[in-house]
Amino acid sequence: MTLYCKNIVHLSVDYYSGSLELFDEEKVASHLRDCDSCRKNFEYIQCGMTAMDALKPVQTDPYLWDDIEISLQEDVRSRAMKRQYKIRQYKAQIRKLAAVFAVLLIIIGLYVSIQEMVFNPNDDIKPAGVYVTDRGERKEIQLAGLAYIQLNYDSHLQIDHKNDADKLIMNLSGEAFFRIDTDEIPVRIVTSSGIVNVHGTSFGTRARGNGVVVAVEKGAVSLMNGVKNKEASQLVIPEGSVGIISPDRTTPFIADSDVTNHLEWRYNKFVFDQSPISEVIAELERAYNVIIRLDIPEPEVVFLTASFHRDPLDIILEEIALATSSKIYKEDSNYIIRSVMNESD
Amino acid sequence: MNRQKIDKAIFQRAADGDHYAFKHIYDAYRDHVYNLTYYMLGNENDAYDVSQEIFLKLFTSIDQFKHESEFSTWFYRVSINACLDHMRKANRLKTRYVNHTETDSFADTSTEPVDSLVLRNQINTDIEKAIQTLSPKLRSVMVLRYIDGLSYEDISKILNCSLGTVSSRLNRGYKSLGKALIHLKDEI
Repeated sequence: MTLYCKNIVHLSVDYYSGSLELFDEEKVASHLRDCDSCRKNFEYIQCGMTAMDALKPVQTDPYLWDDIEISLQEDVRSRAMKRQYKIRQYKAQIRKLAAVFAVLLIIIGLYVSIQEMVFNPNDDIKPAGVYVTDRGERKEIQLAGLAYIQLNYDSHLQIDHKNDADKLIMNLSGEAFFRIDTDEIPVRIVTSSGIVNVHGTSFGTRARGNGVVVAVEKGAVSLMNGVKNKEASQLVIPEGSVGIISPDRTTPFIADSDVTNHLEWRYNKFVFDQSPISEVIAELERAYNVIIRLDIPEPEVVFLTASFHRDPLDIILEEIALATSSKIYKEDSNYIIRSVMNESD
Repeated sequence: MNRQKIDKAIFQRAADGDHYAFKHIYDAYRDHVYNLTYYMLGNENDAYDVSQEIFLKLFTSIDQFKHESEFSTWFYRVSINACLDHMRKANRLKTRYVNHTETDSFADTSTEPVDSLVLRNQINTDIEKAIQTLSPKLRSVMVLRYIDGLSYEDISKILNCSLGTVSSRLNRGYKSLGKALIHLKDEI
């Protein structure tokens, strides 16, 4: 292969530095013998390479390091100052954040306090007093360190207790759930039909004139059928059981009934288990603050087993009407459940 | 110019602010940096200032390097860029890059009756002047090749260009230099 001038240009440095293959080297030498122009170029390149090889290295200025060292020290000082400045900035930011955090805590504290004062006026930490709920109204009562109470619709609770008293006595008319937080002093729930003695437990008590029903969720209570009656008998109601004293104050007994059914009202549910229809109606009247007139034949023999959520009253009444072959009529804000048979009369 | 190898641990110690480790690196590279800046900029004052600037820059960013091979490539790149920046700042690109025809004005020392040492110094000065007539791109390649005998591959990495470009620039650089100094061919 013949080398042309354009091929040879890039081989010149390698040719003079002796790094070409022997074959290429001979071809370059052959081309240079015949080409004046390339020979001239190669002469320049060879001269340039020789000149660079002949170049003497310059001695580094001996003072260069001294100046660098001084600059380095200044740089280190400047960095240290910058670092200190940054630390001061961080500290200032932390102080600001701490102040903001403190203000936030104060605001949250105030907000919580206001919430408690405005929205939970019944969280009374003073035990003594009378608590009443109207129809359709419920209350929560917090007796600090002693008990938590939920008072159901249309109920009355009187609490007799002083800070240094050795017992807590509550008179209940209606229905309530009690969670007793202390086992240091005896706690007694007094109803018209009997007394419930408790120590550190939670239970629901219903005393609506037709005796007393106690559903024990946790722990145990003792149920007594009278206060001054010498023949009073007492029965321990264990956890998960329902104790009853009938209206005529006979001996208390444990009923074959599900505890949860008696406590569902806390979760806005109505549960009736073979309940007389008059009792069902009374419960709905209390919950919805209405008057419901029952116009069906022999209501005393009509019993209802059902479970309702606290839906609009119309829906619940429609279901009751269906079960009792009745129709619902509304007069102002009151309702009439009238038997279809009575209607035809 | 021979450069002593630097242990990885030295870089780590320098990165941690060890004064003696940094001096160790300075000693290994000072002649290369100083010669590079000198032949790029053409005078001792500028070489001094820019060398100082390069070593200070090294001090502030040495923690980025763990291996010497990467380090030397980076360090030469920083050095070349510092020289080019300096030339731009001083607006020297225009003043120093003269046309090749002007090189005819170099003194023809071959006719002067001087002793060999003086003649040697004069030749060196003429070579330095001829180098300054090269464009910055050609000069960078020539100086890197001269300073550390760097391979085409290393030069291409430092200048971020292809191997072909390095080869072409070296050819053009040697040719330009040879043209300028052909009258001294026998003395060199």
